Amino acid sequence: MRTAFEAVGLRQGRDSVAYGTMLSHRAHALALGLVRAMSGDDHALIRKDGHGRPYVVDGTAAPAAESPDWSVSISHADGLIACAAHQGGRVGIDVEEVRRPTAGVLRHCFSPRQREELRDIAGNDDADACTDMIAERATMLWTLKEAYGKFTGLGLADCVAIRACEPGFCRCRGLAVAQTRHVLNGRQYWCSVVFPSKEGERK
Amino acid sequence: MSKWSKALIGSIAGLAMLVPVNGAAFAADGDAAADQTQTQTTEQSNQYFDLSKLFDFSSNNQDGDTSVASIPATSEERARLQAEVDKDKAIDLSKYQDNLHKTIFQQRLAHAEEVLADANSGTARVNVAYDLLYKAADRLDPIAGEPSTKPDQPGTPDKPGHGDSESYTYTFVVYDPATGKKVHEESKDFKAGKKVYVPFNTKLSAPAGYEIVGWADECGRSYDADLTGVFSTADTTLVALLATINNNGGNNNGNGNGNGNGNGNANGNGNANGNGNANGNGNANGNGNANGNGNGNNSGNNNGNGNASGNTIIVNRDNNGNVIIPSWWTKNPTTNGTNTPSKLDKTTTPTNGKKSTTPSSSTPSASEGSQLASTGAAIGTVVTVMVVLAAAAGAMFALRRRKLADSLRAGDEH
Repeated sequence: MRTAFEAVGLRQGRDSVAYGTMLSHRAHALALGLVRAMSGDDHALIRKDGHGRPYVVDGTAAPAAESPDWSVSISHADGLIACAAHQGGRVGIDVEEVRRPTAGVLRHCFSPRQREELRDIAGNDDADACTDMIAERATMLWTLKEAYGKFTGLGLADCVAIRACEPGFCRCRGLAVAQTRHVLNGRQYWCSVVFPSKEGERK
Repeated sequence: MSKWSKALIGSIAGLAMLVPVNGAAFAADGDAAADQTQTQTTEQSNQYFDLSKLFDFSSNNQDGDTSVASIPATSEERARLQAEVDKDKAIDLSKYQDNLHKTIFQQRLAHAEEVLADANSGTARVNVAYDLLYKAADRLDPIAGEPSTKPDQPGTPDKPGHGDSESYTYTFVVYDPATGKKVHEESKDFKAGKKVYVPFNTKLSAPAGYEIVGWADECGRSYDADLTGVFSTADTTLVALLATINNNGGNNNGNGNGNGNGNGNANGNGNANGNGNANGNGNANGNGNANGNGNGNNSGNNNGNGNASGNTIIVNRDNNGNVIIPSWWTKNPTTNGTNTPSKLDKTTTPTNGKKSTTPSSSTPSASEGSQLASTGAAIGTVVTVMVVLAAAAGAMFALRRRKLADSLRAGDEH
């Protein structure tokens, strides 16, 4: 599994739709470059299925069909684009800028234990530190949940799994989790990638 | 000469005069638009503070166009900082724990003295130094059992931990620098002593072409874009400090050594020096490459904080917008190995084994404007010639009909 990031200096202005479209185009190009570089297939293509999930089309195969070898996942946040490509199984990636989650996200997508953990952090005396820690921890978990949703292809529809999702949850299912923190152009991001682990494949 | 001939010559002369007028109009419009844009950008970029000088950011990472409009510090501001320095110098530091807070305090005290020594220190610099210093003094940790010798901080307004009963309203305002009108305003309540942050999930954003680089309150204090170190103390209005987004079109010079610790950085300005790679994600192999053609929009620095797994990379693009992925990074063997041209991709012929991954997008420039003008003039000329020929044919036909009619009326036999 390899991930590629691209920093985007241009920030979102009034036209969020145009900005999102620009990010999507750039992310698509990045994913295409990543897949072609890794697979060595200069004619590999990336298509999207009915749910918007990107998949790799083998450039040498006819008719066009999803590549059995390579899979790709795309994500972008304000100022950062991330792509992951993996050989031999699906992959899901999500990148988010560090920030505190809204109450709705906490209620619907975090398990009671995770919410309790965040509340414990909030009980810290140092307001500055606890605010940052909550944002960091929540963003880290949130990106993992989204990445897991992309991996399964169900998005956030599987509420039970999304709520329970955390690194241990993924490992129990034979999945590997890679989480990285990035500081780009003065902004902080968390990125999570979920893909089948080698141990999981052997099982 | 008949009246038809006169009309024909007149129409030709009139149309011929129109062509250069149209061409000139095209060119004039294009040039005027380019000049206007340039002027506007320059004027707008001069309106804002350069936060790099307020917060000691590295000047290498800032856009050069944001010039400084430094306001001299008032004597009251300098006196306040001087009083704070004097009080803090009186603190017996041996009664405080040797930890990070103490180190920061010492650094900030030295910084405040430097600011005071500099007669040219601006108001923002003095106020920021004051803020940093008294916050650092607040956070000193006394050794257990030792009484604090720190002088009382009269009314330390930013000290966190005041009761949670009160809350203050922070109003965030964004003005459009082009029109001077308020484009966004949003208020949020923060409990007293809690950290103030910019509300997310809101419509607070910079106008197109600008980015929010900081905030300023009514007292003239400036803060960074994330309001670092700001705690809720009073009802406050924060006005966004904007800067134009400049495409540096520059080079990302990688000076990291690919040593696996994720310390590489990619400065938006500079030269490609051929050493290290432009990603900070730490790759185990040190033979990175310097991608001299950076992302045109990348105006900041790419600080790598990767996991040093060697599986991540921060890519750049060449001048055509193509993603550059170094070959040394992709170690995986090819799956088909043959690189047989795809039967699906019949529209393009691969050149040098690679195909453009993105359409090259370009912004119309002044030179393109002049090309457009000359093209318009050429088209106008062709159309004019065609019209003239058609008019001439019509006139000749009518003239012939008239001659025939006249001769018939005269009784000539044909």
